[in-house]
Amino acid sequence: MARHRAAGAALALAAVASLGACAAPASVRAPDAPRPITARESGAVAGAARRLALLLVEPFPLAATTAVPATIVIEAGEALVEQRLEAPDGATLTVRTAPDGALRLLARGGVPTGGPALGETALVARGLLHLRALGIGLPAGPPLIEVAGGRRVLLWERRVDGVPVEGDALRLVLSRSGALVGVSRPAPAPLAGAPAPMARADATAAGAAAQRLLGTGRVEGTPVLAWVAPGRGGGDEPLELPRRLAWVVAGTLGDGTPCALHLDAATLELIGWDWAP
Amino acid sequence: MLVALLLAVGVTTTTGGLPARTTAREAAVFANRTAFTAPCTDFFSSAAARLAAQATRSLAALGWSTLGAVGPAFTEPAALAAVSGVSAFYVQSHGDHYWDPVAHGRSSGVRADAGRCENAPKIVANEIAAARAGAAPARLVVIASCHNGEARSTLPDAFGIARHRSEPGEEGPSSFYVGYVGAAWQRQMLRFEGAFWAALLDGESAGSAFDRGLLSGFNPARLDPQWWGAYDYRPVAPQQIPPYRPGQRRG
Repeated sequence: MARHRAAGAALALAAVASLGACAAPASVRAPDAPRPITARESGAVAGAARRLALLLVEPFPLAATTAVPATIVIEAGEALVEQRLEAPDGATLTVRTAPDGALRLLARGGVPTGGPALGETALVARGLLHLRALGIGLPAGPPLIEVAGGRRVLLWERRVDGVPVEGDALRLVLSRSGALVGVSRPAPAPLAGAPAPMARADATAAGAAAQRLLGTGRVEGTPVLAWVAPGRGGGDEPLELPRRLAWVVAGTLGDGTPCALHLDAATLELIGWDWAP
Repeated sequence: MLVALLLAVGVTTTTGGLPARTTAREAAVFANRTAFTAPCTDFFSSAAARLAAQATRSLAALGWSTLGAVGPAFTEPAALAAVSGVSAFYVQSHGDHYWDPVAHGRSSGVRADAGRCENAPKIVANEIAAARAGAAPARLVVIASCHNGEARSTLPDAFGIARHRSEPGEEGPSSFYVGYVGAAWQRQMLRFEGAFWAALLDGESAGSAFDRGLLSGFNPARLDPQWWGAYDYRPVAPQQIPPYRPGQRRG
């Protein structure tokens, strides 16, 4: 992710449009170049954050809030305008929007971690209430719910032909009592062309290919299809690259370390991997 | 493609040698590269180095002077020497609750690199606590390994950090500990920690930065981050002029 300070609302939006049109690769790091910004311009840019703050189910205290001058961040190849409000009590509200105004990230800092824990049904209902308040279309189907660091993470995966797209989920983070901590909604990742169904290797062939790669390690379970971010040398798997349809094969390395290999769905070449130390 | 993926990736050591004494403004960053890339594994990976690099860059931007090592120079003596006095510590390696024959019980810890594929020397909580005897509680500790975010992990205690969370707005210690429960996958760590560090550099508190990490694109089925300490703590190096004020950012 790269970031730089914008000179103001107009300049920021013009820069976003330019970067978006050029589709700058994420490897291009924008310079950290401070530029002057007027209070008026800053206020104009912060308007969107204030407008969203007013929509929140749990109000964000806008009185005496400081608006941090807008910045541009590049995330997964997309240039976003970031606006941040800081309240005197330390609470923060960070909003990232795409050039077309689409909300990509809303994050609240300072949300209490405690409170009574909601059950899953109530939690999902509360989550949908937050999404509706923010004008985000309600996702279909039940979310995947995970607990992490005392928070509740609700994920609605994007699926194409029933196959999940890695890193492309609508993600809602709530406190255990259902207060909004944040929502992230990445731009839909581009997909590399799917191999023709007839050319797609089957799960058995994928498992056998993975076993050959693992050597003394072993394949475990049945391979599953997923749209994955392909790896580059050294395992760097930037999320802005088009996802490729792959068999994800779980297993262990020779020393027992859990691993997963990503094999191109058509050719079974290795295009990525992950492991758990 | 396989050949391309197996190309070696250059990795740099984060710093040079270790000083004899460390100071309260110093941070240590260590990463086990050897066990996570060829020839120890069947694949090359730069993930360990990238995790260490983003930690080092971020800590430096927060005002810490960093020392440490990525690769074979990450040995047990080097890590224990460094950990003795630093106030911030980052490590990426294998982690578990290891049998400690001295204590006749389990002691949480991580493995050094030491240039070994398997069975590298362990650095366990009891050793860290002994090395840090008399030292002030650590300010920021990130253990990027399996298992050391679990409630049974003794590593937080070794760094003087109580396994307790202070709520936003609550008085709390000037400390923050991040670890992972169960198996922690490297790609997922890269995404979570990338967002965590970026939020810290934006001036967010450690707890808020942790929340930002939760909003990143990691798969929560493969990474279960955990924290202890004070939500509101901002882990800038002590005696630094707070580097952030509204309108001023560093990236």
